Amino acid sequence: MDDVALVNALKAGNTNAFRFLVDKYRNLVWHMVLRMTNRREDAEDLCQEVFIRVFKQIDNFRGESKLSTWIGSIAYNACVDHMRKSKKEVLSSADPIVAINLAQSDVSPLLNNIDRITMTKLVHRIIEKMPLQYRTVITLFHLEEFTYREIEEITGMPEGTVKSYLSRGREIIRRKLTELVPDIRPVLFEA
Amino acid sequence: MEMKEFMENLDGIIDDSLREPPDNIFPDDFTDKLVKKLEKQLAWQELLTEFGLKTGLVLLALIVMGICLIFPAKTDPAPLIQWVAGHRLIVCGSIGVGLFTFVFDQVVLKYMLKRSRQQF
Repeated sequence: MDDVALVNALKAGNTNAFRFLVDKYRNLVWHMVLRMTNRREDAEDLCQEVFIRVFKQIDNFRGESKLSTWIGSIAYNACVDHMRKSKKEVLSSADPIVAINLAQSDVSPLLNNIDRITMTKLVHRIIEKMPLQYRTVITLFHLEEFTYREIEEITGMPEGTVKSYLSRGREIIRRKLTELVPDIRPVLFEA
Repeated sequence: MEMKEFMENLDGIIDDSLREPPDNIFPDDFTDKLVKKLEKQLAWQELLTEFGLKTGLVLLALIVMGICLIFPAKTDPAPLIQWVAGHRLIVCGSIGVGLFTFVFDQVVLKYMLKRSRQQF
């Protein structure tokens, strides 16, 4: 079923279409919610809320953007609302390098045996500790493969800001990785 | 040259890591639970809308009936108002019992029936 047919079926109130929609876009919503809230406990309820919102607001979808972008913007707004309500971190202007404060207990088990897999885990830990806007933009661009323009539609951040968060985010990861793993060369040059 | 290779490899690892989804696995029964939740919400919404429409129709019919009885005959409504005021406990009680029965029959029972049939 393509997105046009899916949207029409949803507008007709078809719950089978809703099931199809959830199966098709669950990874997008799950990844966004997990990365934005950083809380597994809240993620499931929030994902449910996002899909219910999508179903209730489907009449507002005009097809001017991709369905995935529209769902992404609903997920983004739901997460921001949730974080405001629970008085957790919202968009912060703090220095990201200072903001990333990895506890020794978070990383020390990973540092015992450094290889590519543990490096991936380490990068994920660093992303978790990044300010919200960095985590969001990084997830949308790298994991969900949205374009700059689509990320702008989802988050409302100007394209230039998105690009800047992406390049600064990468720089932060580079600096934190080399700081945490001083002997990083063998991993990088392993066969 | 080695620095360039170092940075390229580091970026390669970062790229691979960024494309890797978070560790937490999506719950298996998520879709089923969500569809049931939506079906429940839709059932409530449908029953409440239906109830609202029926109540509106009954009220409209009563108002029209009242107007038809009072105005053409030029009946003075004061005795009727006085009677209602004098028996407000009975009047309010009757309306309350009627409304409760109506809600229970039209919303709660219907919802329970739907629920047992559709198993949500």
